[in-house]
Amino acid sequence: MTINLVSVFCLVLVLFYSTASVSKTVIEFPIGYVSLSNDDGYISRRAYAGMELQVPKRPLNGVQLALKESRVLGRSLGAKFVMAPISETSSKSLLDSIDEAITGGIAFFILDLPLETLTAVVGRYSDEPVLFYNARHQNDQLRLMFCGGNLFHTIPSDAMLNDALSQYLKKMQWDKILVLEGEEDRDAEVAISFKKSAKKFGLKIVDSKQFVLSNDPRIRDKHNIILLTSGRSHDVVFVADQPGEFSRYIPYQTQKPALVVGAQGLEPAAWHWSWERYGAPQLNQRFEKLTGEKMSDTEFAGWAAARSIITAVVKTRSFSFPPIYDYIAASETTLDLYKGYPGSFRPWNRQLRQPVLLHTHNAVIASAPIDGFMHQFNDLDTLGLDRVESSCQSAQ
Amino acid sequence: MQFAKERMVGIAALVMTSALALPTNTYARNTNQVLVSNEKSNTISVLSLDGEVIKTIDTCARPRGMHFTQDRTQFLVGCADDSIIAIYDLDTLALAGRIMNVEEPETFDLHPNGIHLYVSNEEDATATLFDITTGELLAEFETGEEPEGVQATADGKLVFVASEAADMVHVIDVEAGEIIADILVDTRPRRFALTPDESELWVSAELAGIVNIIDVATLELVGDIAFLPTGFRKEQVTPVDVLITRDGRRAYVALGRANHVAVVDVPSRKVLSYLLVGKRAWGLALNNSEDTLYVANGLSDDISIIDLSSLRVIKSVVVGRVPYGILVDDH
Repeated sequence: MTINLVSVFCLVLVLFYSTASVSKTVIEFPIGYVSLSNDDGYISRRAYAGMELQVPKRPLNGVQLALKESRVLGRSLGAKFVMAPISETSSKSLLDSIDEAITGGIAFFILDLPLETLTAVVGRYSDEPVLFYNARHQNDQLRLMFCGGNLFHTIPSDAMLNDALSQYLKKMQWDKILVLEGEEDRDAEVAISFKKSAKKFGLKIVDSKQFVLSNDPRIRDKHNIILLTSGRSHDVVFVADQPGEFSRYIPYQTQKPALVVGAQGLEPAAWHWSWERYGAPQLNQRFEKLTGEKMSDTEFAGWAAARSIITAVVKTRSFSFPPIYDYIAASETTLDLYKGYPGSFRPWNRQLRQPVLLHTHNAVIASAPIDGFMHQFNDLDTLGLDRVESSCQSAQ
Repeated sequence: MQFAKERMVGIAALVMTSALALPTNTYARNTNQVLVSNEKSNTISVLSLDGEVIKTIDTCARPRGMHFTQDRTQFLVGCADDSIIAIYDLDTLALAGRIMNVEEPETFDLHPNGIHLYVSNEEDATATLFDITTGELLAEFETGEEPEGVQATADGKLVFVASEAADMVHVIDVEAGEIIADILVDTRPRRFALTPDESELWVSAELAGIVNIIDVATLELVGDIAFLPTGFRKEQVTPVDVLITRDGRRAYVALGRANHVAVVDVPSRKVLSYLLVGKRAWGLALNNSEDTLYVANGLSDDISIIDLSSLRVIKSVVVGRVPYGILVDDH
């Protein structure tokens, strides 16, 4: 670790002192990748006898792909983009390592950290000339914590994902929604976010119930799916269920034929391997060639983060922090996200504007903004908290 | 069902036209046919010049870019999923040959010598050079990710390759056999057109919604043309194919998701008109007299035919799934 960093620092020194004549010597431009080796978020949760329902992926492979893609870009600049991995076992040693990295000249970091650690890191360096990326957490609350500060989010927020879903339900006139949510804190967060979206787009929540993962006959109204889905008539069942164990049994077991959306059935996401427009097959194939796997949401967000840095360096032809930062933060920046609309970061909360894909297990059914949902400035701002809805008002 | 019907119509039309068309096919050119590669149905639609579907022929997997051979007796089709370039005889539409092991060909251009084919290999981040008479791979050039448009200059000295994901135009010096410049352009460069005097290279930047203009002598960006048909947002304007007429006065730009073709006055670089076509207009081709423009609409599976004297869209014709490239064989 230490050796790695030192070598990077030496090159960084070259970098900052030789901006005038960048074309001849090859300069390494480091992107910090910060993680904890014993991160609870990546402990695989088995449903039963080795079956894995949710396999959370680190953004790492997406970052690697973006670096690999930057080869020829680097050729024209005389630069090479490299990853500077910073991995520790405790939050304390992590902060020390980040201190050291910043002193050594690394200014761009992708944070692959649990929520509390991430907020601690960002809080500590809020006045420093550094830029952090969140490629992992979807929580709406996190977007409100740092507003227009130096934490940039490349993964869509819950609000964006649920707005996308709500737009689609509205377009299909499936207006009456039954909400089912699990017992996890995260399920409550997602359900609250969905209810806000539903209200925003004029859907009607006919009922909201909590389910329990159990076989206890005394509480069967909380786990029997027919009972849970009886009562007020609805078009669609929305499920908030992060572990995914309960929700996988909801389709085909509802009291009346009903579509399932949210954690099952039609799911909103930043990315899906079956997306085939706007050059997506090429990106998917490159990712599969590199990793042998299909690209996940978080991997896409990691790719988008690294790509925004690389694009900024190439477009500004600069290796110094202020112009690169300004380019990334500018509203008129156009990042190619392979989803049709050009991406840019919202000034008020640093959320990456991007289309949201609504997919089943093997097909993308729609891409939001759904046709007909328009915005006075940028249709992508129909997804997530718009400037006027956000409590972040300090934005430029 | 629809496909079967189309086939039957195709066969009926073929019986009719074969009797009529035979005499003009003697010199194996000027078949008065329009060929359309259908990326998702693995077929080529064969149309009459006025837009009647004559027949649909099966081809290799994911056919995209097409190009005539120098003598216009044959044409080449790049098949991305088979990694081949197929060569067909124009008069019989029979397969005449294959160039094998071309990694995911997207588009290509034939060097003025008529032998050397420069191909963009989308998945491989390379441009490759093949001898079409032998099928031999002669050279390989490292490009940015997703190389796309390829354009050779008429004097045969330079070949330009756009790299979609790297926002660059690579310049290959043919004699030196190497890339001599990487020109940074706007987001997602796709296709090229050269002005007839070859002083300017136009390149569409799909995600930026503009056409960049490169000075060929200095290899510097010298201008942009932005497009915005009424009622569309900037982000819906995704230009792909660009054509410039032989007299160097007009250019036509397919605007992708903005569902229009822009008509541009080349000397003043001003947009004269926007013509509404099908969904995601991207491939373009002109007839020889340059009074008719054919437009491939990728998301509505049809071709729009535009009468350029009146600037009116006169017809749309259903072809296969995701029409990509068009060739007009009328001279």
